[in-house]
Amino acid sequence: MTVFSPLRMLALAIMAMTLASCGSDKSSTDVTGSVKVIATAMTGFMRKDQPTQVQDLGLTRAALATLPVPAKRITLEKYGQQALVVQIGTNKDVETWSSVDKITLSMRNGVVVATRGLIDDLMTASVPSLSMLSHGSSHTRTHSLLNGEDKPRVLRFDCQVARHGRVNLTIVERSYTTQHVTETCTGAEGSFTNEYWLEAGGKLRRSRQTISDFVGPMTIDSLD
Amino acid sequence: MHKKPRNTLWRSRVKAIGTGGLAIAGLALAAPFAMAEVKPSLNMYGATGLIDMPSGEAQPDAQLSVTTSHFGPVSRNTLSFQITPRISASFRFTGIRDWNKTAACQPSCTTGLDQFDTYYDRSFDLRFKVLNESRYLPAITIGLQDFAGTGLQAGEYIAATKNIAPNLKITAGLGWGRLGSYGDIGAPFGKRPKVNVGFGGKFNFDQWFRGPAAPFGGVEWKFNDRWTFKGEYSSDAYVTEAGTRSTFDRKSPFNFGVEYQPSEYYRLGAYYMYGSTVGLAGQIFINPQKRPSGGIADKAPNPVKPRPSRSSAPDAWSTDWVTQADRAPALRNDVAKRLQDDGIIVESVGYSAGKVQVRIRNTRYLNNAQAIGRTARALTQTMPASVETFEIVPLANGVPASRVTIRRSDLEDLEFSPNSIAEMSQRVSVAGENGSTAGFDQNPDLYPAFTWSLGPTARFRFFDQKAPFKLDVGIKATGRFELRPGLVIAGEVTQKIAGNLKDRPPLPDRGRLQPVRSAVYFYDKEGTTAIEKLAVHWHSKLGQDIYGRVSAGYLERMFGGVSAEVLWKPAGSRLALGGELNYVKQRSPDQHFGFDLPVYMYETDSGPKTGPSSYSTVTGHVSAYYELGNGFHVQLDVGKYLAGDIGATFRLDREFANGWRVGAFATKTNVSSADFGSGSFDKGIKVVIPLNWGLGTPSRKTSPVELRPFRRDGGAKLEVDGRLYESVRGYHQSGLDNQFGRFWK
Repeated sequence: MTVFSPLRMLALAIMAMTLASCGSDKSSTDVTGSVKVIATAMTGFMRKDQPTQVQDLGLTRAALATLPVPAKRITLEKYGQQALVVQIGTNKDVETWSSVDKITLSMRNGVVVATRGLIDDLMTASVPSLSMLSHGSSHTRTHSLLNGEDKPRVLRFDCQVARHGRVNLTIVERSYTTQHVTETCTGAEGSFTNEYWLEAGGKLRRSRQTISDFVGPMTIDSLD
Repeated sequence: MHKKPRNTLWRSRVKAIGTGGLAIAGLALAAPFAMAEVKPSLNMYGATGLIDMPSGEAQPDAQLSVTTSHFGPVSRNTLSFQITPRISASFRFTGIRDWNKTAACQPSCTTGLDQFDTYYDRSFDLRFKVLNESRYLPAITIGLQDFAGTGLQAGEYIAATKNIAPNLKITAGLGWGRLGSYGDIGAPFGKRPKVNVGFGGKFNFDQWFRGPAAPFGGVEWKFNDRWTFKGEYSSDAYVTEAGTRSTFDRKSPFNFGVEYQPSEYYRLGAYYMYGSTVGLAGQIFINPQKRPSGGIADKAPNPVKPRPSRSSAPDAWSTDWVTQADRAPALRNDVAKRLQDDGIIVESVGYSAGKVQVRIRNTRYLNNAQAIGRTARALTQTMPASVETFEIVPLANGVPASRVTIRRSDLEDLEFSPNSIAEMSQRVSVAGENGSTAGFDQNPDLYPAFTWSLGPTARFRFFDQKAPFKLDVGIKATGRFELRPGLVIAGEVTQKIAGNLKDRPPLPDRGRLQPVRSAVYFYDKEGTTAIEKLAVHWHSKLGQDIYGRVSAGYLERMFGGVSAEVLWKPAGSRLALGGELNYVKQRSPDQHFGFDLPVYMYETDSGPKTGPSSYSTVTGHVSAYYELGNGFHVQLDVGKYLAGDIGATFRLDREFANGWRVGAFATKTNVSSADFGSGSFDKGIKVVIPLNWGLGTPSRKTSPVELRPFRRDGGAKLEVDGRLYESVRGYHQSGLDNQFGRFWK
């Protein structure tokens, strides 16, 4: 009995702690933070992954025409979110594209080699080239992530490419004829399938690529 | 950073001991299934085991388990940590109700053990898994329960567990002490000498594995994904609880129960215990290596901006900019703007045609390599093409902690290399020498700076023999006035609002020591409006690898005075040496400005006592710090403590790259056990949890918790802010090396 009675006090303390702290030096009021930690930790522990309805950006060609630079649309099914990204940098053959709220993805000819700003980011990857994907191949992939201790966690996959014939796609009011290609990868720590839709001439119009277990797949649509 | 060979000595020693455990392999059971399918579970003691009995297995490496269990009059709250894959430790707070119900002194029991309605006890356990389960052999663990206590909980065991079907495992073991108190088979290693309890807290070596030994055993059957059935035969007679004290009726040695585990983070259990009572248990599992939020949510860094080739853009490579007037503040502003969102403050910038040095203050990232990595990428965006060498000097408490040198072409080449983390870590170099800032462009707006905060605060008192914890809540205001780099005046004032710390805990008689810590109750009670700290701190770099600190003022709640510290820590060394000397005076319990000690402060349960009306002392230590490798750190302090006693403190910590720290410490001084009081010497555990681990957003703040079974006056150290070792080592080679995974984050 006496062992439990302090719980009432603890409840009181938590109520007091949830009062916001203020000031120019936020870091020194650690108690609010500690309570938040316990709260998020506990809700995190209870959390279950549920598929969320994706909130469509509701793009139109007219709206896209007002953009000064080419854009891509990314869709994260697991978060139910879409965003527009524009190119912010190039390093050799890798382009980095960023959303307004600073989620970035870096791609070599459209194949994702890194992301940032997505919690469990793809730190780096060795990936097939676009021509390997369009011509069909078997190859290995490595994805480098960080584990909970921030140590590199390298996942290796054996992948097979398969071609599935022609598919007509509609992306923001425009139709495209594409070749549908899948890349099925299996490894010791799981498997996934990436999908690519290539236009004649080799342009990657749409892809759906797996980032990490936590982030899930990302769909990238070229809007140019 | 060049990898140094890890210290493998420690590991090989563990292996050597491990192979010695085959002696009881006779318990092994042949089985077709080699791998464990049923996860190792916990018993009512919060240790790996069945219901009340231990088993031969261990928890996953690094797991912290918090367990509360209750049956009949017995309640146990336990914190367990799997220190290495084979070694684990537990710290337990036990309460036994109805303790004096049948005592002879009823109805008015006031003295000795009989005065307590509920008997509270603390205990430490240590377990060592000598053998991992294999195809034919079981997992075998040797354990010491309450190995340094009053003896009531003490027991030793050897237990073997084998999975004999995918969801069925059996355990058999032999127990001594209280685990050998029912159905014994004789005393294989001789008589158990009577424990000399004294003030407790001593290792009772001569008792271990002595006296009657009794077998125990049981089964665990996981009958579906979430439910497990457990049954066991207990070798614990509960001689005191069920016998002498008659707190419950032990009718049978058999216990049964079911456990429900819906997620990997918690488990609930219900049991029928000893043929007479019902038991309940709740267990929470936290693994520092696993963030509950999945990771830290943060904005993407600046990408690397490669330079154009010299042939395609010869103008971009011109070095005329070096001599341009006004170029320096412009470059400093450019990089500062790029780093603003990252909470990295640029203090100053100095350059030549091929090299730039920036001095930064990292206010946001607990991972220091991440702050360095973001700064380096921001420099690729802003510095003219001729600059090939980036020197980043992180400031800790205003003092250069190291100089990290990065080649710009490495950043350009490796940004998207499949092995970029390892490759980059080999190319970054860390030095202790950081050069002068003569000619640097300083941000003129940074000093003097005043920052403040106002927010809630709480103060806990754990395990005061009346309750597991008590607490006060209130408001805390802090202020920091930074006059120039390294010189700061910092203060902290608290106002208590509510709480029960004013409830008087037992105040046992103390020996001849000044109550430097045992009078803390009066500081809790009197310090309604308290100036907890108000001091000036000066940090400085005295030489290439030498750091200094001087602090003066109200340094902590109970002491004020002057504190000076020197630290030698080369940037590439695992060893550091330091020294600290303090002249301090004990503060009045009201924690205003005075140093008068009121006579009531010396009171104990046996009545008023007297003591000096003021107390000052010289205290100080020499310290050695060493990083063993694999995240293990040791620290040895030798010196004179606050009560004038002389001795040494040993600390062992396991630190994780994400900032978690779990460790234990013990201090032995020339104070006799009688003068020290309960517990005999100062010891405890410390857990440091980084806020970003739970919050999932960047923060440098950590939340340290120290748990001591007894806080007495022997072996007490001054608690001054800004000690040097922890503030600089994170920017040194092994600190950055351990955290390098986030360099590119």
